[in-house]
Amino acid sequence: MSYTGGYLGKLLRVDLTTRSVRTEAIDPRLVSLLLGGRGLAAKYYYDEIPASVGALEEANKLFFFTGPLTGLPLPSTTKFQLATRSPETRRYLCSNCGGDFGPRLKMAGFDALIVEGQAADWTYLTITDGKVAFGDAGPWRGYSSTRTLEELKAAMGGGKIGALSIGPAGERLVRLSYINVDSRAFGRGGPGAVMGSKKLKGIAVRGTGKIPLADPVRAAEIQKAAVADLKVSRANHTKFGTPQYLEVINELGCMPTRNFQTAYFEGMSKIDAHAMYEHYLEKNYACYHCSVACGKTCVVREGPYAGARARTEFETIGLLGPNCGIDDFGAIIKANQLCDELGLDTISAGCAVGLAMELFERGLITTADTAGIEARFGRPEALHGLIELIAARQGIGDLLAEGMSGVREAHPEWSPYILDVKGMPPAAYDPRGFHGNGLTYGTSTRGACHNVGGWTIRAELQSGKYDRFALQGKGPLVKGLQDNRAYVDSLGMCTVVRGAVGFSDDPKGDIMKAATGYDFMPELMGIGERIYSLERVILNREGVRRKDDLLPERFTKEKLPDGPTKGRILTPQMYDVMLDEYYQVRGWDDQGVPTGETLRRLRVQELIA
Amino acid sequence: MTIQVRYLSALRDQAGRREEAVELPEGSRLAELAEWLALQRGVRLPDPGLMATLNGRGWTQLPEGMDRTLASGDQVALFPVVGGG
Repeated sequence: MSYTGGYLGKLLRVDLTTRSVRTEAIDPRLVSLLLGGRGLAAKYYYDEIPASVGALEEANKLFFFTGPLTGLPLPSTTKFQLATRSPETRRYLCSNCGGDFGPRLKMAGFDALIVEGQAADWTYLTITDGKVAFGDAGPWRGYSSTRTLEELKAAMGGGKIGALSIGPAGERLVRLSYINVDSRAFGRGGPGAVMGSKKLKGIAVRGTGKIPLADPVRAAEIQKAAVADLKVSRANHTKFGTPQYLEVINELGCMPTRNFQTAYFEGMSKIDAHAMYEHYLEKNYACYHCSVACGKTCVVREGPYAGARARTEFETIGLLGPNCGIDDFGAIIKANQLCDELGLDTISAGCAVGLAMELFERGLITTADTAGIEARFGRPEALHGLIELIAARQGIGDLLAEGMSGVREAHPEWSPYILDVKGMPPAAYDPRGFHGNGLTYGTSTRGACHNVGGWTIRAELQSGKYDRFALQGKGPLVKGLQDNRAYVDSLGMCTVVRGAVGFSDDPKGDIMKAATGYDFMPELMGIGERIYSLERVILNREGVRRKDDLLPERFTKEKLPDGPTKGRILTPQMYDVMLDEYYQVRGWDDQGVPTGETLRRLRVQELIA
Repeated sequence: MTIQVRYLSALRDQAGRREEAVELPEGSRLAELAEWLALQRGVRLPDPGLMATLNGRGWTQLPEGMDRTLASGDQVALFPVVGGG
């Protein structure tokens, strides 16, 4: 297979131990089977990270892979992908991110960057077209992730660059640490701690090259039509961003509240999209080549948190707000900013704080554990103080910094209050309100994630094929959503715009031919299924079986006590119905292991031989 | 009879209010409510860009569809299509 656009055909490999750099060709056969981005990153991870490698060990690697569309003059071609061993889940992690880094990496001449080894002292990397330099990041120790981005830009002499960094939490190997990418994030799974373990404070890239494009004339037509479509179809994203869903999810009785003890937050009107828009919105933010600009930079203009500034998203508000009982939008912005600067994933941080607050209210921890903080739900001082304790690894923060797996290992008696799947705490949806979402959390490659696992809520509410509380049919629904997302994560395009260019579960249109010269469209869903099963092979190798696909106790043993979904529960028996159907439709056995026939049918066998 | 209607997210701007109690004749169906919404609030259903629930269930998932008979106290919520955070 040969491609006339989209791909550069080579990757850059940097070894921090030996300070050596080399360029490698990427096998076009792998591209034809796995597309790019998430697919190729999974294959390199499979080949290079045996199950015995710990997330924070020198042998772990960071696999950054762009997709064929990354950086092209098409809608929101901002995305690139990371694979690594997750400090939070202790297993394979896939993560997708916007910003400028991916496009600039391709302009520098590479489809991918692999970082391996461990630096002797704190280091930053700069990539200027084909040239790599190692800088001394010693003076930057303790800097926030945002200040580190500024230092990287200064080190590059300004101009158009992409940059990624970690904050103090990553330096301290906090397992909830994120990687800040041009103020977007590789958020979940703790990849910031992998960088921390390598003493890698940041990377900046400048590229002056041109990314080949198969059919520039047709691409320009597609771009023009998509922008017109998105102006209408994503108008609410442009105005409100993802916070537009807060009020809706709450009204549907699915908003995690006070560590998922209930799913309806009484203070929603103070923190919903209208509250944000009317009182806190400063400006919109757009990723690379995006006309939607769904990022919302918010600022607190008065009161105790005046001057706080952050780009608040639905998940962040949900987990740092209702899940901690907080109905003060200014306090949420402040918490968001703290997480950004300290370098913490806002979802996992919100779940960790929610857990600590419940433990405190139950008398299982005291002010002796919290550095004197009255860690009760609804107290902004407690939210901010606990975030700082986690990042500093002080008091209860040191335990929470080990992630949900670490907390459970130390205190198995706290299991009724610990919310996670495979070590990753859930996003801002309670699956007792949408049962398909429970299967999403259970079978997501990386743990309780709504993106990788397949976002079911629209289909469960609108399609007419599924009732939100029904069990039958959720297996094929979730599989289809996961396969769709797996190929989209491999393209290099943002999921928000995919509908405008035909990237549905029945892909249509000629964007891939215009970009690469090859019509991938009929194969995309099959490629997505191949990627998902390859990832499952990796997870199986790391010990994952059916027992790891189960939901936390709260969802399966406690009925929702009030709100629109009062009385709802997803018992183990109910969940098993969905899980059995899911395994069957995937061609996996009853322990969640793909059968030999499935691996041959999907040509995964060729990839793991 | 009284139906409680809530306009969520961006629909609040279109309807010009957050919620209201709508009076309809006894025995009215969802179809009559949809007619009222189109006439009084400019909200036309069905619309692929909008979602509507009756007591937490999507209208499109009700076995009787728009022929579903309403009861006093029913809760209706209207909002733009959701797409994940």
